[in-house]
This record gives sequence, structure tokens and C-alpha cells, in this order.
Amino acid sequence: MLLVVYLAYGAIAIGLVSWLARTLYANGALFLEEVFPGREQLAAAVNRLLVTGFVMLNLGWAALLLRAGEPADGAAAVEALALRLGLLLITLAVLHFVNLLVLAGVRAQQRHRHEVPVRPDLWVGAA
Amino acid sequence: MSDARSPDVGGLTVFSDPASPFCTWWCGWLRAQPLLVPLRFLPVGGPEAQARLGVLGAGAELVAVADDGRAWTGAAAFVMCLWATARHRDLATTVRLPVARLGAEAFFHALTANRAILTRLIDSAPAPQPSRP
Repeated sequence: MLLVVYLAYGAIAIGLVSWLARTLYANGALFLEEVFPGREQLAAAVNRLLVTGFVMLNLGWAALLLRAGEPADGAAAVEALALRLGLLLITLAVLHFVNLLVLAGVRAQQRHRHEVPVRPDLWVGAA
Repeated sequence: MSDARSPDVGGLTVFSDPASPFCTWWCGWLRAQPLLVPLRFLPVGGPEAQARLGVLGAGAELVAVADDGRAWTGAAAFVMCLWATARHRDLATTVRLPVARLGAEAFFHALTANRAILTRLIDSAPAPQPSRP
């Protein structure tokens, strides 16, 4: 019974992480090209690094979550599986949104790069 | 009158206190930087400061004035000086974030409040060398 739970968990965890990583990679490319305008190679490198970090972090976290006691019956086994997958998904979601927020912050900064960073305190006569 | 956020400052005139060794050091450091915006350095008590800044010029620590008349004082002037440099413009741009703005203000006030200590440190350190003679 335990082996079945572990196998199912392993398969779903790896499947989820790789599917999410591919989605992030595909959609992140466009987003990052806008964050780093005119620097496509840098954008691609950052994208790959982000996805690599994402996969490492999540497979590591999935491995840590794996440890479970012997489930008493089928229901307990499903519960154990659901609890771990739920925790894993919520972690993925939180990380994903933090990642998006950081990139959106960088992008907002870039948009304002050609403006003066602080409002003038006052106006005096022109030179 | 141009927009408050417009980057077309022309040049920036930096009014600082020539009696303060720290201000002198800061202007020297700025002169040694590669600049994106031309800077002019004038004393706060000078005739141009009086003509352009009026009463403000007398007690100010640091004032930056754009050619179109926009003026920044204190920490904002400090940020504008950084913004004028090629190397530190990105750092100055982060000041749009409230956290960075507070950080810049705290840094500037720490500098001005500890001027005496900094002056002693600067006196014992070699002066920055300008990149162009």
C-alpha cells in the first residue's frame, strides 16, 4: 500500500513540476524579453536559470514531503497523498507569484528608467 | 514649463557648501565619475545661488537645479547627482520604490549628521582622481 502511495506521489510530483516548468519557460520568455529589452540572450539566460531553480527547489521540497508513516488503509493512503500534493502545489503557487511580482517590479522600474527618479521639491528660474 | 518627471534636465547645477569638506569631497567624487548629464558646481553662498535660489540658498546643504528650473534639495538632490552619473543611474532609479526612497533619505541624513566624523576620515584618505585632467 505504502509503495503505491509513494509511486503515485512521485509520478504526480515529477509530472506537475515538469509541466509547470515548461509552462513557465514558454510564457516567461516573452515576459523576460520585455523586462530586458534588447538583451534577448540575457532574457533567455535568466529564464533558464529561473526554471532550473524552480525545478531544483520543487523536486527537493517534493522529496522532503515524501516521508510518511504506514497508512492504515486505502482512505488514509489517499489522504496522505492528497495532503502532500496540496502542500506541494501551494508552495509552487506561492513561489510562482513571488517570482512574477519580482519580475513585474523590475519591469515597472525599466518603464520609468527614462524619467527623473524624484519629483522636484520646487521650481526656480530657468538658467 | 516641462513635466516634473521629464529627463530633459539639460544640465544640473549643484550648489553645495564650500566650507564643508564633505561637500567638497562629494563634488570631487562626482567630477571623477563618467556623467550622463553635465554637472556644474557652485557654492551655495555665491551670487548665482542667490539669484536663482533666493533665501533657500542660504541654509541649504545641497541643492541641484536643472536648466529648466526644477530644483531638488537635500536627499533628493543627492539622488539626482547619482542619477547624473553613468554608473549609478540604475541605483538612483530604484528610489521610485518607497523602501529605497526611505533608505536614500536615511543615508543622506546619516551623512550630513555625521559630517564631522566623515570630514576627519576624508582628510586622512587620498582625494579621488578626476578621470579627465
